[in-house]
Amino acid sequence: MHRAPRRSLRLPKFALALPSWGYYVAFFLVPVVLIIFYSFGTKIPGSAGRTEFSPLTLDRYRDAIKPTFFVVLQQTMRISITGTLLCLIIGFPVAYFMAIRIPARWRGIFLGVLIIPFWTNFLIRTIAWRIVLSPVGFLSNWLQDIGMRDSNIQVLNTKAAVQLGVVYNYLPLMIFPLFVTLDRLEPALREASKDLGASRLKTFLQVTLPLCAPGVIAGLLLVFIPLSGDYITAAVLGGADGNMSGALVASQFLQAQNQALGSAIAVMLMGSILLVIAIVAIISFAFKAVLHRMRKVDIPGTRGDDLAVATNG
Amino acid sequence: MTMASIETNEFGLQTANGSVDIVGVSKFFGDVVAVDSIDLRVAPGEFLSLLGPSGCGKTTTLRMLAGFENPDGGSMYISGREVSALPPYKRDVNTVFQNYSLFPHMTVAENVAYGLRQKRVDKKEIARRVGEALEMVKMTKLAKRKPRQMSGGQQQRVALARALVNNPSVLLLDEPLGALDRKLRQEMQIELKMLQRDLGITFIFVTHDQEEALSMSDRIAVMLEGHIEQLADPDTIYEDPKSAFVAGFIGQNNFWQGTATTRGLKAYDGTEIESAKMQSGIGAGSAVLACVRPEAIEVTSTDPGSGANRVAGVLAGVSPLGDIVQFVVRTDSRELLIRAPRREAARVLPGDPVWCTWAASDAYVFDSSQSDLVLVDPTTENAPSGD
Repeated sequence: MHRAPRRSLRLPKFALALPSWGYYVAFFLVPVVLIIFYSFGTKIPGSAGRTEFSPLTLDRYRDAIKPTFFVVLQQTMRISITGTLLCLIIGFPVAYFMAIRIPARWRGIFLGVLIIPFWTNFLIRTIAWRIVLSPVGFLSNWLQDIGMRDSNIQVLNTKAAVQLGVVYNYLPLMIFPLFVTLDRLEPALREASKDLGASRLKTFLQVTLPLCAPGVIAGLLLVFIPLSGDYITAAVLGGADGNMSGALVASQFLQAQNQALGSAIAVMLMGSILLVIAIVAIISFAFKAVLHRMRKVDIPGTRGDDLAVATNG
Repeated sequence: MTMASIETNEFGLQTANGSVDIVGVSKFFGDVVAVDSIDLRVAPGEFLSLLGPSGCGKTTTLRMLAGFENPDGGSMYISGREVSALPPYKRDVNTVFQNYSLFPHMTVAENVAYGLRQKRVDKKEIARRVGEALEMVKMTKLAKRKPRQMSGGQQQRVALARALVNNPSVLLLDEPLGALDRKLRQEMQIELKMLQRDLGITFIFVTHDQEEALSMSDRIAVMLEGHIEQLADPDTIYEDPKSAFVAGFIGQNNFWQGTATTRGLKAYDGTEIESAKMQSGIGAGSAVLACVRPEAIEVTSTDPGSGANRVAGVLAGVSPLGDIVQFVVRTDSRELLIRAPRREAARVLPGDPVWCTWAASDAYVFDSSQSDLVLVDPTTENAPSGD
């Protein structure tokens, strides 16, 4: 077992990454595996949250697809998808404006205005909306004063309030990645596009949008995933009507002490998130393929890149 | 380039395809005047360079022609059509950008096809013309590459093809060779010039490289602080500069500060210069600037005798630059730069006493208003002393 001493002193290249991988496995992977395992268990009746695993059973999933729970899952996906799209629709113009339209010296101020509300605690910010949306709050009174409504607004404790709350809470997570990609985009590329005869809209669709696709994808994932699992917003603003799966999971774990059912609902929530992401990925790949076909140029008399070079050698 | 037969309309504007008329155009950035009411007429098929130091307004002028900046005053005509109010995508010009600005998400062929696709040209026709354009710049083999897989020189060729495939009547080039290394740049200069001659397209070429401008242009507009200092063909710009700035910016020059005499100047360092090329309107006794080109000065190892246009010194350095030899001669008060063809250069060694002489027809005298611009290091010049 003689090894060259020079070699034995060298650590393999992945050694530096080991601590972070260890952390990831211990605090992310193991809990996920545990939750999946628990979802096949059964709560021991009368116990304070103890679960038995013999036999392993799919019964918790049968419970989870019963209408009481399944309706909430559907509603969660509806709120998440709508909320994510709303964040994109609202966030993109904001990011575009900040990165491209306003002079660089004002950018810091705009970014600051966006960030400052985030210095307030998430829960407090969400509770603040209760004041705004209250049927006897200032917004309600003001709308009646100017004659837009003739009775109190009834938004609080509805799905609409949750929808509003999640868009408010997650919008910056959409704006920042979009801002970064748009900010990095060389302005001369847009000029080149216009120089070559593309109008502003065509330039946006053919140059700006494709080049900031990574930012759009990052923003969509950053908003959609945590939004789907959010339960604070639903708990604070939704009431009974605006329930979300995250809140169900929390109540199964913390109040009903049924860790098996809570885990099953959590796994179904994860599955739904993955499913939505997979569908969106497939659609965008198809869309990209169509775009490529449309853009493709078949120059007559040539075949393939570098082929001529290869045959010469 | 002859300017004799120019078609003009009743307003004195050119009407031919590929002509450019800039009339009194200005551009301000805040309080700063970037372009100060310039007039410029470019004939169809002409290769015109806008040459000047950074901040002289050359790029702004080009960007106004392309439509990326709106002029604050004046009007611009391309092929007889007023374009000031038109957006870039409605102008019959195309631009080759300084950093090429190829679309990174498209292949070479898709980049070149971009302009034709916007005009909804038939797909077969696009393929044919893209093929021709890539052939023209010798990039056919790399048609399916992405821009980031190519060198700067290759990207430059694609950028050129992408602009030329649209068959614009005017091509605008914004320091297109600036990022290339010297040898590649010189090759591209020749190729670009030949391409322009073959295609007959008007080229407006922005550069800060005087060599580039001299070697390629039909005419050069030397710009300074937002205005055109001199507009002429390269020989005239070099041989007959209209101002001290042009004399200093194009090529190299040896400058003297002094007071004007009837026939030239008496420099503050005592050198007497006789000039056959005095700027008009210089009164005797006024502060002036004289200059002599390095190649106009002859170095001899024997004293040629007395008289003006003669400086004695010691040879401080010899640099063989290939086909020419460069001498640096140190006098009591300054250094002179001299260049001679290798075969005609004097056989002298550093430390030898030498004499420098030149003809009155090679000495130019200008008023001193641009002294600060041309005297890079004023400490090498003698301030007026008691004598």
